[in-house]
Parts: sequence; structure tokens; C-alpha cells
Amino acid sequence: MARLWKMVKESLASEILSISGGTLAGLGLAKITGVLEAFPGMIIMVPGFMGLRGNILGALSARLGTALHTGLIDSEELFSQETISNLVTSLFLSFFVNALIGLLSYFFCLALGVQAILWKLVLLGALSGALASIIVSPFIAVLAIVVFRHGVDPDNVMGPIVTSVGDVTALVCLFLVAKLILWIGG
Amino acid sequence: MDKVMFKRVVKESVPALVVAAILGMAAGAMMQLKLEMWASLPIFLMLVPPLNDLGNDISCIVSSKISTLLALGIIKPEMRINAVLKENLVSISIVAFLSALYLGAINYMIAGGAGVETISVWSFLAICIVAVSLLTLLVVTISISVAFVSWRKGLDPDNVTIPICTSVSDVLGIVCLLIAVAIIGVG
Repeated sequence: MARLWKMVKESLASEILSISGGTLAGLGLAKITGVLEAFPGMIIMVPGFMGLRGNILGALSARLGTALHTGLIDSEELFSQETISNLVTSLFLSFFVNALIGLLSYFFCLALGVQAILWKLVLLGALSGALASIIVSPFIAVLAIVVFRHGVDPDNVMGPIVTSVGDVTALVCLFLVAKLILWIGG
Repeated sequence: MDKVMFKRVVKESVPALVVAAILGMAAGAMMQLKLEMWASLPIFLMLVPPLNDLGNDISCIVSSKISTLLALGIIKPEMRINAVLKENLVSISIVAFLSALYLGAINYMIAGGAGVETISVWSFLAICIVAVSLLTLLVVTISISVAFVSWRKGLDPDNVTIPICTSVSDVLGIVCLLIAVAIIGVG
């Protein structure tokens, strides 16, 4: 019984953190319903776009953790060649895969009978993905190195931080780029 | 710039990312079909990211635990409940129920404070409990099944189960929320 309550206590603590971070992102989503209605097809991109930030940024954080542990990255140097290579890779993946999400969303729109415009969806995916990556990736890299310097294992602490910061930043970027595209293209 | 590392990471990541993106868009397509509901009652839209996080977390917890239990030889990859597996399933159920209450309470309070239109607090809590219960049941079943199948095929469940189950749980999160709204109603 004691072991069961220990499991509940440990899992519940991280759940509360995770739900709280997700709720902030959810509030952001609830506040941009006007843009979601004005930009046909945008809502189709939202789950895929938000899921990717975890897959790309989570993988970046895991790679940096391994590189720090194996000594490939020196924790005294914030932006070494290895760190920069990781950041460029993450930026490329965000740009490329989110542009692809924009393209695929267009086909989903066609199937659902939603009148969407191809270039707007591709531009929305590519620009918002790149912007979110430019903002969050260096933050994650610096934080992983700094926590490692203080004797904390980045693998144990970066997960919830990546999810929460990534969720909110991704939504803000998606909103800003959508507003820009609506302003340019009507 | 390490070009070898760049090429390797891109080559290894792109297939999994594309599959995850397609599954995510299937979830998005379901949201598109109910666009009017999300727009008229955005409190349900608020639930989507935390519900997906919860589904992903439960899937990660179950997958990691099952992988460890299989590797230690404590359980075998067959659908039979032993004491250790039962203890883990009970703890996940308790965590899921308490998380559903927290999810409902915090979202309702924040929605009220931020001026987002709400429904009755009891209906909202009931929707959260039904959605999380359904999601937990499905995610746990799928996570255990995928872990068992990958173990039997000689693959490390740690590398296979989590990417598959988190992507599937994103779709299931929205499906379960829509089912819960249909069952409880928005009174």
C-alpha cells in the first residue's frame, strides 16, 4: 500500500505541473477563436503544430543532455559548435516539418470541404514553426547547460519545462503569424 | 557546423515527425468539424492542450513502467493481470481521477477569471471526469498492447511505445472530449 501511494504522489506532482502549463496554452487557444474562425484550415494545424514542438524541442533537449553527459559539449561554453549544430538542426526541422503540416492541412481542408488557401497555410506553418524554434531553442540550450553546471541532470528537469514553454510560445507564434498573414492577404 | 550530425538527425527524425504530424492533423480535422462548438464555448477549447498533455503523460508513465517490468522479468508479455501490474494500474487510475478533478477545477476557475464563457460547474467537472476516464482506459490499453507486441518482436518498447502512443493519444484526447460533451451535454 505504501508503494502504491508513493507512485500516486510522484506521478500526481508532475501531472499537476503538466496540466497547469497546458491550461495556460489552452487559455491562449480560447482567446484566439476569432482568428481560428477567420483563417480557414488553421484549427486543423493546431494539434499537429503543438505536438511537434514537443517532438522537436524534446528531442533537442534529450540530445543536449546526452552530449553534456558524454562531454561532447563543454558546460563552460554556452554556444559551442556542437550546440549550434543542434540548434540549426532543430530550426531546420521546425521550418520544414511545419511547412509540410501547412501543405497537408490544405489537403485535409479539401477533403472536409473547407475553402482554404494553400500559400497561406504553408506560410503559416513554416513561419510560425521557425519563429517558435528561434525563440525557444536557444532558451532550452542555455537552460540545459546552466542546470548541468549546477549539478542537475537536464534529463530529469527539462521535460516539463520544454512542454510548458513550448506550448505557450508555439501558440503565441501561430497567432502572431496568422494575424500577419490575414493583414497581408485579407 | 557538424554536417554529419545534421544529416543523421534529420534522416532519423523526419519519418517519425511526419507520422506524428499526420495523426495530429487527424485530431485537427475533428476539431474543424466542430468549429462552431469550440468558437461558441471556448472553455472546451481550453481543455484540449492540458487533456493532450495528460494523455501523453499517462502513456509515458505506463509505457516506461511496462518496459521496466518486462526487462526485469516481473511480468510476461501476455494479457494476464498479476499483483505488480494490478498495483500499477490502480495507481494510474487514482492519478487519472485526481488529475481530472484538478483539470476541471483549474480550467473552470481560470476561464471564469479570464472572462471565457462557461457552463455549469457540475456539468463541466462531469465532462472532465468522463473524458479523462475514457482517455485513460484507451491509452493504458493501447500502451500495454504496443509494449507487449514490440517486446515480442525483439524491439525496445522504450523506443517504440512512447512515440506511437503519444501521437495516438493526441487524437484520442479530442475524441474522448467530444464523446464526454455528447454524453453529459452543455447545460
